[in-house]
Amino acid sequence: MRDKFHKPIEILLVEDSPTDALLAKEALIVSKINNTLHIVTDGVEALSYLRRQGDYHNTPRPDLILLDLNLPKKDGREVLAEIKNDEQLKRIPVVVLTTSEEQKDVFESYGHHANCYIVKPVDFEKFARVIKEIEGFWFSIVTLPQEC
Amino acid sequence: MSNPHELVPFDTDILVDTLHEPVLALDAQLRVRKANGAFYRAFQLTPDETVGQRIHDLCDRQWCSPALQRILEDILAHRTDYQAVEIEHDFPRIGRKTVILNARRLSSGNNLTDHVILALEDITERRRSRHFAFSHDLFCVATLDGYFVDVNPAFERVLGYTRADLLAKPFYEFIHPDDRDKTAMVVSQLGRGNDLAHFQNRYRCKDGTYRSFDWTCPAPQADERYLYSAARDITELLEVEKDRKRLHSELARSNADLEQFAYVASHDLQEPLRAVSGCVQIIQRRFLGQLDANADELICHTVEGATRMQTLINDLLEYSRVSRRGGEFKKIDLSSALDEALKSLETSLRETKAVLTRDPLPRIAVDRGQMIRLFQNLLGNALKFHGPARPTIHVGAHREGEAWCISIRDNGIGIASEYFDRIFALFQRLHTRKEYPGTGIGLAICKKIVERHGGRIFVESEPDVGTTFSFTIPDTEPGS
Repeated sequence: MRDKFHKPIEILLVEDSPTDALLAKEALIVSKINNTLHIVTDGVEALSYLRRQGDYHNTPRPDLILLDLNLPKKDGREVLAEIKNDEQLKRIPVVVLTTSEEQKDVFESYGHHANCYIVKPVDFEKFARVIKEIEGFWFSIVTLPQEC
Repeated sequence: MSNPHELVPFDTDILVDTLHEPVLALDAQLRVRKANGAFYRAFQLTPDETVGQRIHDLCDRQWCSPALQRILEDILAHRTDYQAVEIEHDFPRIGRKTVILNARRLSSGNNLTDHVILALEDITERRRSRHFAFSHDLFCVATLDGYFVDVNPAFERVLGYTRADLLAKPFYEFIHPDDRDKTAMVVSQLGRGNDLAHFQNRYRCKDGTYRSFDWTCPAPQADERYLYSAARDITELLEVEKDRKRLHSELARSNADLEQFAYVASHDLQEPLRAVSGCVQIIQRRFLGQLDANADELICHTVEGATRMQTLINDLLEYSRVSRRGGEFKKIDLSSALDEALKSLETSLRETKAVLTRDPLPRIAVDRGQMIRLFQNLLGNALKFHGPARPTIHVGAHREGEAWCISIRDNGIGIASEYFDRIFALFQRLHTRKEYPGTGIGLAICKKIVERHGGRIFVESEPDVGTTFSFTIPDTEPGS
């Protein structure tokens, strides 16, 4: 289990809507999660961030990725597939966090080895609760591999 | 000189022989005294089996029809003659014929023998040819190698060609080029003795337009050289059918458009709504009680409005999903869907202390998820709109022709009959949100689910007595 009182959780949020990003940020504050939130707004940027390319050469490796599916340039489904096919990245838990309730998206996401699929609640209070649950689950309950 | 009365039989015989029509002379016992050649030819009988026989006994008693017998008996007893009586009878050897009958009694006075002269005119052919001439349907006689031998006037009328035009060329030349092969195949099938109940082709009219015919073509019988066929002009019928299909597909498309609209609208509205309601909830969290009373009120109204809008949009989405995301129809025990619905209503069943009774439910092919939703909504209403008495609900099932009728009867507050139609419409409510919460989507969803299953939903109710919602689900297997 990680030392959650000292080291903030590194979260990468891949989200193109500024409002949704703002809401996620708020939800993390409301949930009192000790975290550092990094936001990228499209799929290409997300992969550059993860591969520490260009401006991102110094960024920390995220402990958790919150991934929206509908993104400009390279959409979330492709990003997910690339992460899970990348030897360096595939062990980072990816939570698909999207408005899509389409069975097709759910099916495809798990097919690309998403670690879980969550439909964003429209209501903010519920959304905040979901964020809190995500944190609780991934950082208090499950055992994750040690970063190499 | 002999007695003039004795000349009578002699006269009768001569008379009978001279006529071209089939004629019989009978004696007072209705025995055949004399028949002429025309009679023997027409009815295929011989003098040996005819003369001296009682007319009833001809051909093992099969020749004389009951109608003919009555006439003859009547003639002997009361009347002297019958003119032009039409009888129809299945005569041995020659089949079903329509015959016009003239009968006359000849009395020879001074208690000498009575005679009956019976003239029989076979008008079967005449009758047929009148049908042939006056039918609206098209009749033709044709050769197997593709020529008309005869066509009826309807043919000339419909196509605008004269009979002579039509008989002059192979009939294929009048048929639409795309239909010629098909027609030739049918003719060759008929030539091999295979009956064809129906087939369709198009004929060209003199004005260049085409008419569509629906043909009935029996194969020629062994002794027939020609094809006897009848056609019905179905051009208008096909046009109407085409119109109907077009309207149907337009309607289906417009319904699909509408559903797509409902879906897209509700789905896409969620995005900005999330922004509004999310932000306003954050404002509520951070600033409620920190500004003034006026601001607090505004914040609360905004949050409430956004929340209600969320509910409406969710309901609309659910409504549009009934057909968009409906599942497969599988044969299930409807009881299991009811059980599942009851499980989800456990709390309100307990809180209202409701009493529920139920008939055994049938096994039918349905979308299980939607049946659960249907029961949830209807039972939910029964519990929600209960009266002062303890809610008593009965779930009934009975057969109604080719369908099952399921009903949910309660003893709740009831609905006035003027609202019976309105309650099934989208977002229609009969109460304020304060009295009874809800958006008014429940019954609209029920209606859509039932209609997707090919059934119908209806209500019977009396205010303060109770309400029965019934829905039907088609099921063609009566045994289930």
